[in-house]
Amino acid sequence: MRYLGNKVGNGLAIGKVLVIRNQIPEIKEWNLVDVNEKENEKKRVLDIVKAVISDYERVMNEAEEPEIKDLCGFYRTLLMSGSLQKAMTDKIELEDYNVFGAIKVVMSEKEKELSLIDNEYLRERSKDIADVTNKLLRKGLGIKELDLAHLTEDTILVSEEIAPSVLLSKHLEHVKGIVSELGGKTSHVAILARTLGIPSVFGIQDISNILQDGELIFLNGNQGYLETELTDRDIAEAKEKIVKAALLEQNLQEMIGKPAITKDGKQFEVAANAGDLTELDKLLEVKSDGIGLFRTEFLFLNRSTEPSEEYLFQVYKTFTEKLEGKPLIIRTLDIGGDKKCSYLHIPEEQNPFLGYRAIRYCLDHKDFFKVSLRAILRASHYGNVKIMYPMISSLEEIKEANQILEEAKQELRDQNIPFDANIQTGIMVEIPSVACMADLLIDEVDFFSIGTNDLIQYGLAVDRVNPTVSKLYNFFNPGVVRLIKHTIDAGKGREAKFVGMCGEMAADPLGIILLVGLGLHEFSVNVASVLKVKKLISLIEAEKAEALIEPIMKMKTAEEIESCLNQYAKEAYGEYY
Amino acid sequence: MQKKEVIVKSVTGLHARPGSNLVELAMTFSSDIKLLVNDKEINAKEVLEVIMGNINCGDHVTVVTNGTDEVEALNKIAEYIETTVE
Repeated sequence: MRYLGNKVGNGLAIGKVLVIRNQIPEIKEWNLVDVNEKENEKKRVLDIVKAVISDYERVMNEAEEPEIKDLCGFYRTLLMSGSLQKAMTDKIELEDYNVFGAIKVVMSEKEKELSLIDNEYLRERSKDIADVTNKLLRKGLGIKELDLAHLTEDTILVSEEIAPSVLLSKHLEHVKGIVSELGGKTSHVAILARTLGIPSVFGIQDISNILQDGELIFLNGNQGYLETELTDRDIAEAKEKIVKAALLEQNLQEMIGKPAITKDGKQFEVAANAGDLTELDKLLEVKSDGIGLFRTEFLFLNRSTEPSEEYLFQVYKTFTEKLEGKPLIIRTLDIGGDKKCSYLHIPEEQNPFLGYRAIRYCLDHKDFFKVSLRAILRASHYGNVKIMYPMISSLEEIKEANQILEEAKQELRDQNIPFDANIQTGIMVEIPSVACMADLLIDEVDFFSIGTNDLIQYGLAVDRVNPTVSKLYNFFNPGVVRLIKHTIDAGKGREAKFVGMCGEMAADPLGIILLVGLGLHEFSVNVASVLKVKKLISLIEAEKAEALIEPIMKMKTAEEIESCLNQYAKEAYGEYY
Repeated sequence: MQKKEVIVKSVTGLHARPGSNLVELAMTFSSDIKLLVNDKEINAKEVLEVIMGNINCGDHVTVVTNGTDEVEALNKIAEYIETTVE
């Protein structure tokens, strides 16, 4: 069986399942038995807090990874809070709680305060507080921390929700993967897993009840799935994949700052996708050829009022300047019923993916849209900025969006605010109809960016997170390949226009061969894949990849196309594949 | 008492890491340190108050310090808010 979840990344793993039940200590007695013990009890609670603070300080000093230092630093400042410590001693003094009652009541209040705020980041922090609470209680009760040092075999930790403290251990050499039901990309666990390079998949419902301790599973953190019921052949293949991936990984550093050029000298751009600020530093580190997809939703979600033009401008300007002239493609707001923004009043929809979202909403709310456009235009003065509209399904929408853009430009001109007058505009190609009429739309835009995740989802009518149909989701379905080819062909021979791709297919080893063959101009991939894509491109001979296209276009099944690409992949990628 | 108005440069605002780093910095001073922003008064030594303060990039924050090292505290905190861009 294959279970799909949210990819947290960090590679592939095979190992035996260890289901971790969250260590929530049971409190039997909440109140003081002897009220004359208050002074001692108050001292005890402060001692517990102090002991846990010094535990965190020890980890902080031992750790080399800045993320671990940061997390421990956050926990430390949390516990050093004067008001928190006072609240605990007050619970004992005024309400006759014992240490455990005081810790639990005070920490739960804080946890609740945070969890009620409509902000994903702060909600994640409320889970940190739960983790700290349990650590305080374990300390008070003398319960030992979960010890991963006794593991002797490669293990994949599985839990409803992994507490960050589990990963603040020095004995993680046998922890090869992490699977959890809950937890987002911004959770501390995800950040720690990334720092420690542990392959992880989150968001698989009920998985801690489905999997059994000791069961062997394969985990693909890059694509976000796990596989159970492995045959001997599956196991051998998985192990080989892991070895080769590790070998490839070791040889990626050489690609930093280098252009992606095929063996026969054809150059491609490899840009990164960015959707929050934590990625910016990593992105600068790998020196991608710019940002091919800047998702702006994070600036709009998790707040109660719409962001101001000034705020958006500051963020866009920061990104623009840090890229030092490399392109930054800013996608205008792609929001809808599935990504809630309380202040936008988008009604509940039965089918938000086919509903009132993205450009459809923005064109109806011109003033709101114009704020974003003005912010982007203003940032364009500081570097190489391009605008991209999402969810375009017709020519009329492009014209209408450009009309609003012109109005925004005129307003800035009237106010003598500088912007790049030649700013390029393009569209996401993610609705099949648009791919079909790419040749009719190219005149209206400067570029296309093919969003494969949605294009395939809409094109094949497959919800890829639904495990019962996800197998149908395939990059190489001949229908999908035709949609992509038609879009890329529309840009050919058109000077100053280009076609890019910002979906997972652009980072797939077989996908890369097909796309090089089709003549895609720009690959925009997750930051973690930038160097890998550059490296793989450098191993390909463009002429050979191009020669595959004619036979591929005659093939009738995904399987045939895949095996054709696979054959060349073995030749080109060699020891890495 | 010392006072200075600064503009938040951090693109993440003071919710995440820049917020908790600010608190760590504030804790190194003995003075009381308050942040006045959006009609709220936030104790700069309380990490939850700071990260829940909804302080975003571009917000105007008045830093108020009071105590024996108030001048140095004001300078360091103001400088931190004005120069941290992550």
